[in-house]
Amino acid sequence: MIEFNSVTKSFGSQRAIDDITFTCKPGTITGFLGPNGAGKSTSMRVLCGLSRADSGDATIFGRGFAQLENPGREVGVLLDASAQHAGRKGREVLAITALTLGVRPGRVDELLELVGLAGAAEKRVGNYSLGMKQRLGIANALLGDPRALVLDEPANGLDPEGIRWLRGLLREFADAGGTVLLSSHLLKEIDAVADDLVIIAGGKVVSEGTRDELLDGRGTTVKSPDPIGMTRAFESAGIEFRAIDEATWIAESDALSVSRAALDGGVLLTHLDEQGENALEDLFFDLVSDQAAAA
Amino acid sequence: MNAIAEHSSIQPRSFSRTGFAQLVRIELRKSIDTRAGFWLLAATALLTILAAVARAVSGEDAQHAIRPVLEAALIPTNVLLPVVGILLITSEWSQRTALSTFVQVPNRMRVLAAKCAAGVALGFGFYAIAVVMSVLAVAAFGSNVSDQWVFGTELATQFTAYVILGMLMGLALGAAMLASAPAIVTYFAAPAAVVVLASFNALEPVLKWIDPSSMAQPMTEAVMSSEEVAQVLTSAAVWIALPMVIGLWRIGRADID
Ligand SMILES: Nc1ncnc2c1ncn2[C@@H]1O[C@H](COP(=O)(O)OP(=O)(O)OP(=O)(O)O)[C@@H](O)[C@H]1O
Ligand SMILES: [Mg+2]
Repeated sequence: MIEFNSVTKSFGSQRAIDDITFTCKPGTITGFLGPNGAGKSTSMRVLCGLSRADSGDATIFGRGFAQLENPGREVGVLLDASAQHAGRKGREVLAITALTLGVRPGRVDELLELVGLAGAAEKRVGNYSLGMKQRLGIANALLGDPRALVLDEPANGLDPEGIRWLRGLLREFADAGGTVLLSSHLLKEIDAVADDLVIIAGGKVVSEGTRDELLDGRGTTVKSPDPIGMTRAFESAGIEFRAIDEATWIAESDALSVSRAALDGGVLLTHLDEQGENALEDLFFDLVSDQAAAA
Repeated sequence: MNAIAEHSSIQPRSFSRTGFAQLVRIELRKSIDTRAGFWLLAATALLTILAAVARAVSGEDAQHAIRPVLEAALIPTNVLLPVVGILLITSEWSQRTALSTFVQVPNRMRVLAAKCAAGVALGFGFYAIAVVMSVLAVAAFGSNVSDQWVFGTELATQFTAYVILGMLMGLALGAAMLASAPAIVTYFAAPAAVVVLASFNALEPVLKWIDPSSMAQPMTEAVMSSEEVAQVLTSAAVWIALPMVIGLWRIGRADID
């Protein structure tokens, strides 16, 4: 359980985050989305006690970060994979963490194996690629066997195989009852894995809820090889629609009604999806441009 | 049961804080497990051995006694070891490891205290190396001068303070500046700057009370006068206590990113 209660933080006169409130529940992955400079990293740094909030507070399992006796055993944190000593070997980074957290040393090798760095453990971190640093950071976060994870853009630099692997790992972690706060500006990544979404822009939470709550009712994506027939079918069924391209539409109706309209019009469909592939992107840009307009 | 979740994540668990001695051990390990740290410590040890032997075999006979040999053997420690102290603190900022260090140990003052304790422990360790090497060098090569083994408790205290004050100055400058290059430059340039300023005769009487080199040569030359002891204390206030207070204040309130 991770909670933000009205957290506000300014740098000089600039408000980086403004009255941020949301909760990450055990057993769920919360996707934390926002454009560059929205305040995602700042929020996470406040949560982890690295920055002091001007007002409000953030807690992990009901306690402030500094109140956790041995924080690494409760919450695994990866804020910036590049923030490691270039002259230290990968295994040594984990060994230091293991000594600090008091976990058995054997876990270092298990984690190196898990993240696929067993072969590179004796290399210095300065010679790691970004993706390898990211994997090391993920191992470092998991080392204390925590029940919460706070990860700032962990998919950054990972290859497609790595991204899929991370997705599986987070799913497994959450399914075992873990709490995950995951930031990204890769909408597809968040879309594929998050149960809950928190969208911030300009330092404010602009939308929050379960993925289904936020994405349902945003229209059904429809594809058909017959644009003229499809347009006619929408019109005769009285369904509002807008074209994305010549073979794709967003219909303001549910899948069943669209399917019936297509059958009545004798039109073939190649795709029908109530949470279309673009639903999150649409929502994101709607909210973010609203925020920009309001600012 | 697998490596991701060793046991059910739902159960509330209680953990104990990492002990202070453990934090000190970790800081000692961090001082040697990087390439820069390893070579700095290795070079200091090697130069200590060389300096002890060189002083014992060359020069005038009067120099082949324990005091001058140990004085020479401690020069590498006095010059290089404080750089290890500086890097113990500043590398957390320059390499940005503070981000994970303070997430693992949120009490920043405990981390800083552990770093200072580790630096002081290194000082004692290298002091011990220098003593052993000096005794061996004098026994093997020293000439039979009258004060060959003369080394009273005053000198022992002064020599110890010489090593530890140098290390503390490094730690304090590192904490105040939180950046390796300016802290190292200040450590080496401060005595020279004072010498230059002291060539203005009017400043001389004041400067000897804040001269960092009053924490160096006078401490290993002979038993100090009480005025010299007082100068060590005032210089330590300026070059250790003051920067350390600034460092505590900066580290305590800094946003880490
Ligand atoms: N140390 C700092 N000093 C001054 N301003 C800062 C600092 N850190 C962040 N900011 C400002 O706070 C705002 C939020 O930045 P933050 O890094 O939290 O954004 P983000 O959502 O993580 O963006 P990104 O997707 O690019 O990582 C930005 O306007 C940024 O310029
Ligand atoms: Mg960020």
